[in-house]
Amino acid sequence: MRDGRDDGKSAFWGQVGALARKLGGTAAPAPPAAQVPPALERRSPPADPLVDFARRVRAVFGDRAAASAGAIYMVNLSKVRQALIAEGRWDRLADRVQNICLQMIRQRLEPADIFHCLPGPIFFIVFARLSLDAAKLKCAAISEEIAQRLIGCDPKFKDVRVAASVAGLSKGDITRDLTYLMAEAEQVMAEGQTGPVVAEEAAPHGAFDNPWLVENREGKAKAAAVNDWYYEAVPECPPDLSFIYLPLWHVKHRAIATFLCLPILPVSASQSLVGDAIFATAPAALLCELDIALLKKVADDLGALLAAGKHAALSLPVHFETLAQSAQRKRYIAVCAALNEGVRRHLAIELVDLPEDAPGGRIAELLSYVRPFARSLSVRITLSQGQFETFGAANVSSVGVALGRENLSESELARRMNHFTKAANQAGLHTYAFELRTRSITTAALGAGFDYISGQMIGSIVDAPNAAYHFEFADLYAGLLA
Amino acid sequence: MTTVLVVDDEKGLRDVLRKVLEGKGYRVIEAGDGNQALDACRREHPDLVISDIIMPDRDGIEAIIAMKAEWPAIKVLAISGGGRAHAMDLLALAPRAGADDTLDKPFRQSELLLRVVNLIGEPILG
Repeated sequence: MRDGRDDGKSAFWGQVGALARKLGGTAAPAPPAAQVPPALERRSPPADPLVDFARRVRAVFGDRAAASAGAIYMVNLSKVRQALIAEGRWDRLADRVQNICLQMIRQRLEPADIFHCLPGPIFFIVFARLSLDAAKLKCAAISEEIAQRLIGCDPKFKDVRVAASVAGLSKGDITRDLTYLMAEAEQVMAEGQTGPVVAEEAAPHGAFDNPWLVENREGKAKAAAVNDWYYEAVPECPPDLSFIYLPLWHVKHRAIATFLCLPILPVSASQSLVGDAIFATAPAALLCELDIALLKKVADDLGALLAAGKHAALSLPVHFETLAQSAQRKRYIAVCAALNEGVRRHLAIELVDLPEDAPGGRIAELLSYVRPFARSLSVRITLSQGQFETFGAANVSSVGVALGRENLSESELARRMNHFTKAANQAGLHTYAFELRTRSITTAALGAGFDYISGQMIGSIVDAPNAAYHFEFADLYAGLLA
Repeated sequence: MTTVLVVDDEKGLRDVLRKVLEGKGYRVIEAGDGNQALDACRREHPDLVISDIIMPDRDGIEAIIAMKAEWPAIKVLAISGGGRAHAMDLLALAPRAGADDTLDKPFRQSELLLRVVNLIGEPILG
């Protein structure tokens, strides 16, 4: 813990007081420096489980292999609870929700990892063997899985989130820090609040070195600025990162002629995060490292492919933030500049993760940095984004969408795909679509006129790219047609 | 009564086909996608299915394969086109899926009726 801990405590109690006032209660008095306030004593969980958990946390942190020592990860279902309370179903489902979470968390954790459950439900997790980044990704993956299991695609719950966050614990007084964290969590639940007090107040958690830094999904961008310092010391990619390729069908040429490279990160013995699932949960500072790792991998594989006399294009994403930040861009471009001419002629670079309000001129500028190093440039957007004229002016060859997370009916998706391709074609752009999950959506994408498509009906992921090969319309129905 | 199931995600086209076929004396039922088409087959046992190919929630090729597997006697006329990209490429697969005939959109009323009569004959009034 830093020297400013007492100041941090004051800030913490200031927030508790503010919350109490907001709720119409009496502000809690600032506690003496070494004293737990009476209000919290009443609300603290029973001593034995806490002491036991603190003992186990201390043991993990004392282990040299515990790369994430000092950080405790939280999965917070208070918004799920609130949604179910609003529906009058919480009392009936509370135990079941908690059991599902327990089951999923246990499946994800390694034997040395530890966790503690509060009746929020809020789960505190300490990863014994993972780096900070890997632990963060794993925590986000757990929250995502729980959200999928409990919420799924039900439009009623589209705004409900399972939050993943991280806080710091001192090595000196873990029990006290845990007391504060748990007391705060319990207070949130007791007062019927729907999320972490401090996150709702948009202020750092003063009592700890690392406050509630990141809320999964929509909270990511806001938290990233707070978070940068935390990951500054660990800019390397997770060591167990590997890569896969997705085949992309050039419809006009009836050929699988491009392979899209994606990172894959094992998070347990049997499960892995892939592509966007990693990018969406990685801290901002890690995105550049992931992009560079992808570029190096693609360059190696493309070199090997060409050396073997095989021809195919390889595509890889680069994040807007990587090119937008000067220092990161320089590092990325330095790797690009080292690519030989043969590799550049077969390389397709896809700009991804554009902010909704990114000015066209800025996009064009960023694309100009990588244009010399690639055969083609594309931009991935959403079905509702439409800066097609800008992209056309920036010499982008194609625009595309990843449809896996679009929570729309197939008929609505088909309608929007038609609109998307029509508008893009009018701007002189080719179009592509990823993550087509069914045959009917695949044929709808064909009917809409997408030039390049990828999805379950096109082909499975492969460990390494191969030479281009023919793929006919009949192959969409392999094994079904006479 | 001779029953025709019209399957298309465009309601406008279903309305037109209904008018043409009912005018000739056929009983017409409708479905807006492949899954609805299979439900309708289960319920109504139509004599003929006129099915579009590019549709949400089970496309025409998949629907035809499933229909022919479960009700081999049902006649199927596959239709597609109408300005959709690659519609003809997909329609060309329909015979391999089990379709008894195909027709490109847009088509004349007389052309449609000729295909229908060839497949199931003049309507039998019940």
